[in-house]
Amino acid sequence: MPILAKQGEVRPLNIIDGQEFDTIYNGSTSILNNGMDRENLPDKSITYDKFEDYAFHQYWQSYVKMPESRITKYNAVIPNTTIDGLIYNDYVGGYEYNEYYAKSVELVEGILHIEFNCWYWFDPNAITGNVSGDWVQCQIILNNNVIAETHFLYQRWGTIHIVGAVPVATGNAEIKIGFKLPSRNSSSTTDRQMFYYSGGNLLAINRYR
Amino acid sequence: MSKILTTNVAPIPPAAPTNVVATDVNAKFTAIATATAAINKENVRSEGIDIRQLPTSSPIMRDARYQYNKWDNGTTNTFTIGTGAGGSLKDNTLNGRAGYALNWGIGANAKVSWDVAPYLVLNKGDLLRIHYSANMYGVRLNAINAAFPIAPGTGYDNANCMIFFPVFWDVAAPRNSDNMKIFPGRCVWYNYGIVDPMSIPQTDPPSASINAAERLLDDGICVYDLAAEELVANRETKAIRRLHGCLNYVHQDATPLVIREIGIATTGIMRMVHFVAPGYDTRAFVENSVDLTPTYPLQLKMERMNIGAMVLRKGAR
Repeated sequence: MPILAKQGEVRPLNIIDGQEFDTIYNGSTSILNNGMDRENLPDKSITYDKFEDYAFHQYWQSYVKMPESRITKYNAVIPNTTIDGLIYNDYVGGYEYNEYYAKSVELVEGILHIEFNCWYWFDPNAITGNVSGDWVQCQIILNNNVIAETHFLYQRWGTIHIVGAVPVATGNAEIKIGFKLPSRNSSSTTDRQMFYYSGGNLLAINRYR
Repeated sequence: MSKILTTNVAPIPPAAPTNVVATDVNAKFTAIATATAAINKENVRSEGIDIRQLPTSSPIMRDARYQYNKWDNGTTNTFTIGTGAGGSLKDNTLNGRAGYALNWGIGANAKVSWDVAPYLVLNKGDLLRIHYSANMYGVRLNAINAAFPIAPGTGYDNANCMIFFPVFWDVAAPRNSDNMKIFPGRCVWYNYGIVDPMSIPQTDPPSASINAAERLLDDGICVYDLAAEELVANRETKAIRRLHGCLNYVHQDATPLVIREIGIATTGIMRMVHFVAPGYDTRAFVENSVDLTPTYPLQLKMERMNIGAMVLRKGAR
């Protein structure tokens, strides 16, 4: 609907009924003034570059690792047998949530799709004295509600991939990642590094309704 | 296009007669000519468009490609750290680091490609999401034990793994694995010259990287545990895994990133280290001082790879 008034001299004569002219004129301009719709715009006429940012969706992507405050440095005579990480003395049990890398987001009503991916390591000797039962578990919480959780992961080096999608309301929300470890074996020590994770990539896609 | 702000040409009664002179009319229409910008939200009614006015494909997703081809890279691949590769594993350099592109070798491969210009162009704020997975097993993993001869029972096989990560090829010539690149800001860990940068303490967030010239983050990798059923020297062992990794990359630079292919590379052996003095760092790295060549070359077999890539348009917060 390309209306560009390029001609300044449109009338050679006076208008006899000015108010009738205004009615017609205002009807046309009102279409251009916030009145255009699907009847005026051709099919497939609005291309991608015409959309404003965040028109249909928004997303957040952030890096996540075990906070340094939770890490005890390894200091041993023989290197390479284990790594820096969480020790049992610092672990209160149950799910421990990563507060430092918690993600606060301003949502728009619709669907929130959350993905979390990271690599982890645990030392089965440190956790359970090298008996069966050593594992780690991971979950995603949104406003303190669990939306996705892994089962027990028994492999000591592993890559976690966990996904959840939930309907959300407009407003602020907080996304956190939690990890859970088993009880120690009675014969194991409590000051040995038992768990570490890094390379976390938290992606949250908010698609509007 | 802004709103047209011309008012009535006729004076509102009873202020004036309805007769309007031509000069006034012409002046009003000339004023319209100021609204010459493109049509925008000032002109279109709220909820005035629907799917008919949108392009055929998604306004959110720019591109999505996936490949799964039962790729089998043939016989078991043997390679050694720091000295080159054998089999169809391709020795190459990735941003100056040693690595092994897995799927740009001879024969069938598994990768996602954009073969036609302008290829895949990531603009600032675009999100590239890559998923990849593959079947894999290793034999003669006792090479690891030979390299790190720590007494059994003390966790001697605890801290070793291979890492896998996505790489891409841009428009650099020639098209081979030597021109594969790591995604900006992502790691492979620094392979060589590790000692001095290791004095950089780890922080939250990790703003200081091992390589001070780059901010290297280790997201996007997946790890391959080298633990095996048998750990006796000279006996074949196996570690059977299904690898799965994911990279979510938001392009931050104003200069677009052009991508023609995405594939997977590996490097290793990764070890966790801990330097007490002069500083410390908990991150893993790949060391070249361990020469696995003479007796125990590491052998890996990888097959049934699939890889998918998806790009979301603007929207990064």
